[in-house]
Amino acid sequence: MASFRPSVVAAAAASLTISTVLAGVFDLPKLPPPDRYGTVVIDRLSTANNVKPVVFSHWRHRARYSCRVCHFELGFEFETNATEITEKDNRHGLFCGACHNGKEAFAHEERTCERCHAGKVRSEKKAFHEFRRRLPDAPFGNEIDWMAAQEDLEPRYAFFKDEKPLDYTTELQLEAEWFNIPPAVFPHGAHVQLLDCANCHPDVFNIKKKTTEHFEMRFILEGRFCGACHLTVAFPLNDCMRCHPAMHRNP
Amino acid sequence: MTRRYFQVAMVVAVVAVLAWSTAVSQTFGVRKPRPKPNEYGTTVIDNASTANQIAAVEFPHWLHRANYTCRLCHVDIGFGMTANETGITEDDNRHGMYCGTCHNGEIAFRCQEGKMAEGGPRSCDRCHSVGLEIEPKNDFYVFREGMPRERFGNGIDWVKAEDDRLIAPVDIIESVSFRRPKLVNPNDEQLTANEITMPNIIFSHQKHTVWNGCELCHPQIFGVTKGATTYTMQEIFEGRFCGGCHSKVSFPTDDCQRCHTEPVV
Repeated sequence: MASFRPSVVAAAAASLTISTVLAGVFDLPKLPPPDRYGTVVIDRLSTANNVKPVVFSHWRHRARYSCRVCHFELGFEFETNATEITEKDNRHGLFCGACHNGKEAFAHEERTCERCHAGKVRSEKKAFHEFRRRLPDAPFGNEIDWMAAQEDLEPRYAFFKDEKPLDYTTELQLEAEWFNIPPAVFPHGAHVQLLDCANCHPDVFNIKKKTTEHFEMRFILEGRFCGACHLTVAFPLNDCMRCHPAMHRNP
Repeated sequence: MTRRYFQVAMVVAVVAVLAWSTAVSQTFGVRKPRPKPNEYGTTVIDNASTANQIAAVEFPHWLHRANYTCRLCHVDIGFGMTANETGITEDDNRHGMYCGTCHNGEIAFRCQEGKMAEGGPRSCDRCHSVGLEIEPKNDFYVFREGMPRERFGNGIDWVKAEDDRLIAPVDIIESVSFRRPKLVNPNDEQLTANEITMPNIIFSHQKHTVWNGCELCHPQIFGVTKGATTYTMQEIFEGRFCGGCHSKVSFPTDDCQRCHTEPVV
């Protein structure tokens, strides 16, 4: 027992704590099957009012519209249930009601309630695989390379106005906080195809270079920064090398 | 000695864990929720109200701007551009200043004892309504029904609404304003963006002077010497310069391409 030095115990305890914490932090969330990746249940007021919650499938919507149409022009927040959507809003042409009016998409009326207020996430395998068949593959998420699929799908960039993506293609090299991790490359050019500046700036990322604080992987995994999209809808973080291109798999 | 190292190691570990958890609880890296169209531009004024056990004032800009120009309240009547900086008192209002300029029973309903919430005549809590369940007399959704749509802010294209004569904001009230000639065909200003490839801005004096005159912006917010006032988008996001109105009441700075219109060649 005399050889049991407290400093060694302390070091061992500290390293165990750190590795436990990190294991927790860097646990990537379990991915749902491709047909349900990006499907969210919206239940702010529904259950409280004895109505079934809304099941919203991102893949069906992003096939036709850019992220920007809903999350910028129509004002949907990135976080589920953070947008104060009410039935009154929808009936007055706001939020879902901007399209679900019987013209752009099926109307919001008695007989169609359950098309959205479906209650539970159900498998959409058949319809999804039918849709996915002709589209380019990706390893994770919906297993569709949505960026490459754009040429085929031509999602609508703007709903209200005749706008085109900003010609802004600056690439950012983001140095990793950790030793031995190659930098992440951020292409503005790919993001402006689907998003608007204001989706990310200035709330999620500052606009002044290198002034965004706490921009670390552990916070991204909490749904902050890139994690606002790249955990649940856009290709998930499992695809490390897509952002850190110099990272190699062990041979 | 080793005991000392152990203690130091433990302190460092505790501090590290604490720092970790505090950082996690902060709000960063997420979008701030956008106000809903019916709430956009609604300002809570609470100079002395809650301190005096009265509900704070909920001021809807949409309802007022439908009838009056910005300039009338923010220049002639003297309201500041930031909530609570004006220091309005009940005494002022009862003597025909600030809200009392119009809310005198002649132009608009007056400041009168009694609370709607208690079945009294419409008065105090029609404005002092924060936290009270008061059904507003004017329903935003009904008002918006007939207005040209815009995607941000109140979801109303206010400029078009005036062009289409759906609204006719009053610019002059005899007791507080003096008549002056309107600025005729003022120049557009070309503003160059700092960021490479960011489209430049064409600032329309014409559109701004209709409701603001010259005096709402010059010389305090923007100097009058060309090129002398320099500012960044960051400062605008922080509520300065254009951000004094845009993102609070007039269309928000989210709408990048509404100002950054001129493609760089």
